[in-house]
Amino acid sequence: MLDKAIDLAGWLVVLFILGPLVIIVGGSFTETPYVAFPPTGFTLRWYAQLMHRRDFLNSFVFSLALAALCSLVAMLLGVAAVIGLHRHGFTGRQVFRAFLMSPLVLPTIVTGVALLQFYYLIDMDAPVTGLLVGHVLITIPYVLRTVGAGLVGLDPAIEEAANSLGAGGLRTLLRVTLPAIAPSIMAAVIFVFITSFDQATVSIFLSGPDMMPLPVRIYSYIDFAVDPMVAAVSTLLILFAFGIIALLQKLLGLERAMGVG
Amino acid sequence: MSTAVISRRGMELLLYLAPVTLFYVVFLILPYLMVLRLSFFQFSPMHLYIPEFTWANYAAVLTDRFYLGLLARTIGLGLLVTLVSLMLGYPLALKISRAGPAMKSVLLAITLSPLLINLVVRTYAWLVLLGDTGVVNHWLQALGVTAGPLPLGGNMFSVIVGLVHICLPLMALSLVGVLERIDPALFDAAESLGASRGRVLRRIVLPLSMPGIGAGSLLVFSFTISAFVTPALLGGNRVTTISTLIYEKFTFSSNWPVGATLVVFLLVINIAVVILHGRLFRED
Amino acid sequence: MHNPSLDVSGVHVQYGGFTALRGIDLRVARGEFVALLGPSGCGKTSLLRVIAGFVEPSQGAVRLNGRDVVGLPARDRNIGMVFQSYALFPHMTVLDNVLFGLECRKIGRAASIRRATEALELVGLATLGDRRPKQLSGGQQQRVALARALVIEPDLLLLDEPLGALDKQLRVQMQTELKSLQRRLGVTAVFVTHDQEEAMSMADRIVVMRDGLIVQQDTPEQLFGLPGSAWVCDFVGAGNLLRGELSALGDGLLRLDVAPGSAIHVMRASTSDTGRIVQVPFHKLRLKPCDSEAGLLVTGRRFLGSIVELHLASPAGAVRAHMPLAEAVAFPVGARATIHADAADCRLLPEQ
Repeated sequence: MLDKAIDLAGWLVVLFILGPLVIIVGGSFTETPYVAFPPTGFTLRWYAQLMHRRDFLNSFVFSLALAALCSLVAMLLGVAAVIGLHRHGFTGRQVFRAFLMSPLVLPTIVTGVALLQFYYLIDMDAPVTGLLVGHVLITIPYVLRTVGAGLVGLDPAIEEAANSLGAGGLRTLLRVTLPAIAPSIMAAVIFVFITSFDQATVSIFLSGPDMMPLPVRIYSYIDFAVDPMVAAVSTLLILFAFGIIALLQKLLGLERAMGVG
Repeated sequence: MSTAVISRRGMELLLYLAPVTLFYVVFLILPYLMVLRLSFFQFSPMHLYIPEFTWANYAAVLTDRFYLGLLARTIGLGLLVTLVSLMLGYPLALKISRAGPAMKSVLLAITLSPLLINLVVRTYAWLVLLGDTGVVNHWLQALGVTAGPLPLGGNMFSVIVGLVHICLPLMALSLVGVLERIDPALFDAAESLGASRGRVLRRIVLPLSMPGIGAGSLLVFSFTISAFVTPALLGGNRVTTISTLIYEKFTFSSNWPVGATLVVFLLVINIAVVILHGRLFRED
Repeated sequence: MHNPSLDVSGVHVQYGGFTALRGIDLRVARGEFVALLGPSGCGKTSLLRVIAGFVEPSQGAVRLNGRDVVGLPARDRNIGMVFQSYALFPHMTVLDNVLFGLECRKIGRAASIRRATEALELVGLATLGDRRPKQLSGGQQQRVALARALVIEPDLLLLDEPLGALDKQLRVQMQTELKSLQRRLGVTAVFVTHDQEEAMSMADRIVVMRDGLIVQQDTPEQLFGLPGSAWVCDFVGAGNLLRGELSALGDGLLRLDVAPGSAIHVMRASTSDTGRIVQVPFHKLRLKPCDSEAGLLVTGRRFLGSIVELHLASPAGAVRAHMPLAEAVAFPVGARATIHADAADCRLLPEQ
């Protein structure tokens, strides 16, 4: 009885989680000028309309480029930090690590505001760099967490083995350590990429009208109209997310990649 | 010899950690300190602010009914969203922890996937569902449940629904984490001693999942009180929280000092919650 | 057996495509202490879980004091169970752990506390009631688990590898305690173990299981003295198993030529005795020094307290002989010997 109730409640919650997403995907094919579910008729008109929106296309390309750049910078800074923390014990290491993880705990909106007024006060007029810095700041913790977990799982003896065979620090790093944690590094790249690509809050504060990442473009469009074209772009983003999930599943197993189980 | 080794290790450490440290100092510590400084400056409609020390902003926030109501509303929203997420997340987490391996991966994928879907998209979905001409109102009227549209959107209700939808995965995953770690033999032991399913849930499962409840609640509460996109879109300009007002102060009304003061309050609440959580859920 | 406390008949258990139990019949008398002994995967734990009510048999009946309990949930069976991991509730004190079963039975607070305290006294932990399980040693946790299972005055006590997690010295001590406690309370008990020594030292009767079947059940003395098959003999360590060509000497007497000069004689018990493997207890095997190549080579020796175990290589299989230290000095490693035994000490065993 109780078990059945819990089971039923569980299914209802699953429905609550998935329902809105299903409705968006379904509603993107409706012929009505508003999102209807089940969709009335079937049309690809909203997708076609989306393809003619230069602003959306530009934002999409810009978001991809920003995410790629962010991945590069965050990985360089983050992996170096992880290796440094891993190889060298020093007093206050745990505190230092917590400090590096702090952007994950600090409210994103505060980070956005802090950077906004900082750029203004130092009179920095480089919107792309400004956005990039914000994205790198909030994605470095993901690098530390994912790559760090990979290093913790690594047998320390393999680095010692490389050293005993005559490999120096750099050779050990490039030939042994990094290849051994390649799956974690790949997972970190994916995480950073998608986090940057999806980032809205920080971007809302830091982007101007010319350089607008896709989530901000959608955000400002929604403020103006809730038509099925947004459902179409949302559907594409949902597909994109499922592609990422499949990739993570293949690389690491989803549960491990997301840090559960 | 040994000093040479140490200094080489020191050099290497510097090589690895200096770039990230420099980055954090310039783009995290400095901006945060500047916000803090800003909160003690005087507001000026002409120049954003005047760099003269004042407690006025704090006094305003702590005495003005508007700001006190804002703080109370934001905290209340956080508590409510946390409670609802817990009530919905618990059965889901139980279901996941009890499922067989195949069903478990499916349920976990369903639970995890929203985390990878764009926040704006997830919020937009509720905008579509809960509007006056939205899907839910359309259904209700088509089924004859109501004559006219129910006020589901653009208010506190839609903000809560949207935030719960976004926070559920965080809560459920925290709970699954602890539920999976409970030794299944404890359930057998309780049952062999004569405990009903309800008693096992109340006396064994629930107490042992307290750390997960605590961790999940902390995550959800912190996320909710700082959330910006969801209340801004789903609140329809009628629901202000600390976050939406911060945005407003830094953009439209350009009252940076008061905005900065609100930032400090938001941070203080966050820190207070972390400390409180540490007290409540300390491992004994 | 009149009015058995536990009566299991024809029990089959299927997990998906895997058959864990295939036709188990077991009766346990009131107050009896029975061990389920077997290698891992033999089905002993499945049988215990069927009795406890955690696994439903696909076929067969389980009667507890005459009542069929198949389909009855574990919570309604009034069976006390001690788990391998003890399964103590980590968030409750020792006393609350013991009180839990009484709480489920809606027994008044005062009476419950009195009974729980008595149960803790019984296992010698009366003073540790307000501790948490984590603060106790392994042996103490084991006793709490026992007190918790006994306080509900169960019709049957089940123990799953109860001493498996303890170190050897403590295990021996707990074996004695557990046995005497069970005697004193007169509670019917079934325990699972893979350790034949543990089964021998505690059980009134040992049920040997293999591949989901009971292969032999006897008192420890009988099991050790008269194993029913070569497999049981090997599993409980009841003697040497010699395989080879048997030649009939008439009147049921058979001879196994292990090596030149080493012949073992054995009587066929009856015409229906189809065994082809000769069992010789370790301590009944006699050795004589032998200089020729025909003797068996002594390959190793092991001290077992006051006696020595010699290992010899033979074409009929490895052979072990137990003898006092004084005799063993004549057979250093590398020496050669012939083996002998009285026909009365040898038996023929079937493979299975």
